[in-house]
Amino acid sequence: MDRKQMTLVLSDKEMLVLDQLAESRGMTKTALVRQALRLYQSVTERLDSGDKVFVERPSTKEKTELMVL
Amino acid sequence: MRDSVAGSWTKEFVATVLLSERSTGNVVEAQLFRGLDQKNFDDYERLWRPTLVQAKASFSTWLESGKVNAQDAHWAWTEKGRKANADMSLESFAIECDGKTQGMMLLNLSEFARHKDQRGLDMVYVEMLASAPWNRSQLTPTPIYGGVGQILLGTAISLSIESELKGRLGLHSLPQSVSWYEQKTNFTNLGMDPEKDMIYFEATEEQAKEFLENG
Repeated sequence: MDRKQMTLVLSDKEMLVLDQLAESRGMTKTALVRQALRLYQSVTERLDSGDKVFVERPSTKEKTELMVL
Repeated sequence: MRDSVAGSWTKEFVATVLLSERSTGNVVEAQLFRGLDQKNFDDYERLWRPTLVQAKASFSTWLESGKVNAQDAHWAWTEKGRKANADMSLESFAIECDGKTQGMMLLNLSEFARHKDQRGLDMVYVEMLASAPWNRSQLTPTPIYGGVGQILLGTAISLSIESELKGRLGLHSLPQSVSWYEQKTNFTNLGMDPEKDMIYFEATEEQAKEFLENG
């Protein structure tokens, strides 16, 4: 598969989050950004098509609608 | 690979794979592709779908059509395959041999594991996986090729590893395929998923590695 390269400029805080997430999920930062893009595209498409996205707390079944601004 | 001019998808040759010719036991070469194109959609609409729909129609219920392995007759390969070519979360694969599509698979890379050892971690989810009707022993007395399903599952695990998801894989099995997954894979059966009313299987990192080594 063809790959394109880009330079990503992040703040210290953003880089810290990227480092922590990559570490906790056992991925490189590149793989984590790819996964984040997949999820973001998936959520955006659902919202664009009129769907709603919810997060549910298993213990109480309380649902919170995910809003993407 | 995306064609930047036409905006259309050109499927990518991945590897030569080996199928077993059931009538002779010989091994034959087939081609594994990443992405589905019009040829695969045409094969599905002209060669797969009529057989599956006809087979399913001879039973009064969807569940009963599992007797001839036709519970997937309603799967929308063309629609979902086209969507996969524009959606980062979806990946599709096809195996071709004798100029025909012998198997297809649709994967989703935006799903999360349920197995207690890997709960919440990213994994590859098998949305759809099917062998051509003429390869199904319950649908025809003379199935042509064997090994399609195992090669596609191995491909899904390889994609999981390539995507740094460590081989983690999940899938819901049609009722007609539960025994196949139990016999041909080492994946964990996590039982009935009431939301989908289907049995859910998942492969851990270790199971995925073992599947590839023994496959």
